[in-house]
Formats: sequence, structure tokens, C-alpha cells
Amino acid sequence: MSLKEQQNLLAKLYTDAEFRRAFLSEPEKIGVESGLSADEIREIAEIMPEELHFFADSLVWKRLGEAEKFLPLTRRVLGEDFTGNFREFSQTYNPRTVKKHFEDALAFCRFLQTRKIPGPAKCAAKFEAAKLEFFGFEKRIAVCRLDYDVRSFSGAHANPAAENHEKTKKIAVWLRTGKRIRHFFI
Amino acid sequence: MCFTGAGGVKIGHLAPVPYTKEAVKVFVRNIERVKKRIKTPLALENITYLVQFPSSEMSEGAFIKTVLEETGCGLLLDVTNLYINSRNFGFDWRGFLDEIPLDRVVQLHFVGSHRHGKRLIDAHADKTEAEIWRVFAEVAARCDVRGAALERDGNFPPFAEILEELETAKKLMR
Repeated sequence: MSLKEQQNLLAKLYTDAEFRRAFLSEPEKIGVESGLSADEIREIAEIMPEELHFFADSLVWKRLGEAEKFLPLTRRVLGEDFTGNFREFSQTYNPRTVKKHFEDALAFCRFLQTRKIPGPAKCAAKFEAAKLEFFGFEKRIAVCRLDYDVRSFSGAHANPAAENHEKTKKIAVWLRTGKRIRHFFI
Repeated sequence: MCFTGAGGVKIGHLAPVPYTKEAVKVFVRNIERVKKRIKTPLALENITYLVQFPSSEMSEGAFIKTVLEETGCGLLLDVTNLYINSRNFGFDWRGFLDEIPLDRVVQLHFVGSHRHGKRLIDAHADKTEAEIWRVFAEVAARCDVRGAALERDGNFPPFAEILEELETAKKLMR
């Protein structure tokens, strides 16, 4: 097998949990379906499954760590559920550009809107997605309609328990005029 | 010295290649392409890896040596990566140093290792531990190192601790 073919297969094994599980349980079947010869299948199947799983898992942890940095408010409101949701998300999405962690964080915010999670957590993700888009895409203006006052989610007196927040309609605005950036709530 | 994506799939991190003659050829070809575009001398860096390939035809040290010899590149030796690999895969890091051309080492990278489950990883978020300073000291004693970079980009300690680590590095390089 050429290095190129080997790398193609490895990249898939590292990033696609379902493909990895299938290959490790039935290497011959999946290998043949991927167009590999018996020798090529043997070569890849010789890699220790534990090493493969650990590396694949470390990739998700790395993505998770970066997403937490981009989405501190969502992390705070979602608490430990941030990790579980991100792990599920990571199996459905793989960033493609050089701004991979930014792309990941934005896509995760979109993913959270489809999940059964507390309203404040969805709201925090929506707010941080709008903020990321404003700064990341250097937008001149960004407007985000919110069901909660996200300012109550952070700060010294904030209660991170999501269920304790009361609904309040708010609009978050970011404005760029020259080098000056203004951010306020209506 | 790694790959980060293939077949349209981005891995999102540095992934090792099997150490084969074919991989040497591909690396040399790619490095030559880069060298044609940039005039600055190029240094290659060793990575941490969590997967080893039974199909490898040579050791990591022999692989690095061959690529450096065929490209004329310098080596940016990450002593933390070397230490982590030696612990995760049970080899002697001194043996690795014996294999590579130490006269090609131009710069060092260092930071503490991070335990993740049964393995050590390179998280760039921990204080450099005594074992890594030992690797650093031996490399600094055996090579004409021109610089070193502390790769800390998370879990920041008080700044004095960073300065203290840099001071230790400077002393070892004198």
C-alpha cells in the first residue's frame, strides 16, 4: 500500500469512530470494502487497537479543550454536560479549514441549538456564536436576539445553575466603527 | 515531521507516519518543494505520537537522521516530545540521541508533560519536570544549541515561574 493510501485510511480511522470500530471488529470485511489487499489489511490491523483508540480520543479532548476556550459562557452554563455534548458533536462534524477550532466552536453552538438542553445553555451558545462570528469574520455589525440576559450567567455573583435563570427578552449588539468596537444590550 | 490530514479528512493534530523508505522519499520531496519557496534555513521538529506502526522499516531516530541528511535541514529538537515518547513506548531517550546527528540540532522546545489516563501527552500546560530538565541538560551538553523556546500556552502559572524556567534553560545552555 502506498503511503498516500495508508494515510487516507489512517486519517479516517483516527477521526471516524464508527469506521474505526467496524475496522477493528472486522478488519478483513472493512478492509476489502476500502479496496485493500490482504497484506495491506494485515499491515493496518497490526496497529494496537488501544493506541488507535487513545490517539482518536486525544484528538477529541484537544478539540474539546479549544472549544472550551472559545465558549467560556456556554461551558459555565452547561457545566459537565458540555463535555458529553461535545463528544457527541465531535462524531458528527470534522472541521476542514485552518481555523479549525474557531470553526469547531461555531458548529458546536449550532449543534447545541438542536439538543434537548436547558434554555439558558442554548441562549449562551447562541450569544457566543454571534460574538465569534462578529470578531472572527470581522463583521461591521452583529445582532442577536436572546431569551435570557446572558450577563447574569457570568460574573462574581452569577449562579451557573441553568434552571435558576428567568426568561428576559434581550438583544445583544456588536458594532464596529473604524477601529472602535461597541457592544451593548437592548 | 508528521501529517495532519489525508483524503480530504483533517485530523486536527499532528499524526505520525510509518518510518519507511517511501516516507523518507515523500518527506524529502515535500521539504525540497518548501525550500524552493523560502530562503530561510529550515529546521524540522520531532513530534509526540500515540500510535506506532509495526510496518515501520526503521526507528524514529534513523528516520529523522536520514531525512536530515538528505535535505540538509536543521533539527528543532523537542525534548519534551522525546521524553514523552520514551515513557509511553518504553525506550531510552539517550539511545535516540545516539542515533540522530546532534550537530544538526539548532533549537530546543520544552514544557512539562501531562498525564492523560495511562499515557503522557504534550499539553503545553504544565511545569517542566525534573526528568525533562535531565533530557534538556544532556542535549544542551552534547549540542551547540542556539536557542530554546518554552512552549507554554495554557494553565498559566504566576509569571515568575515562567521566568524561572527560562532562567534554568539559559543556565543549562551556557
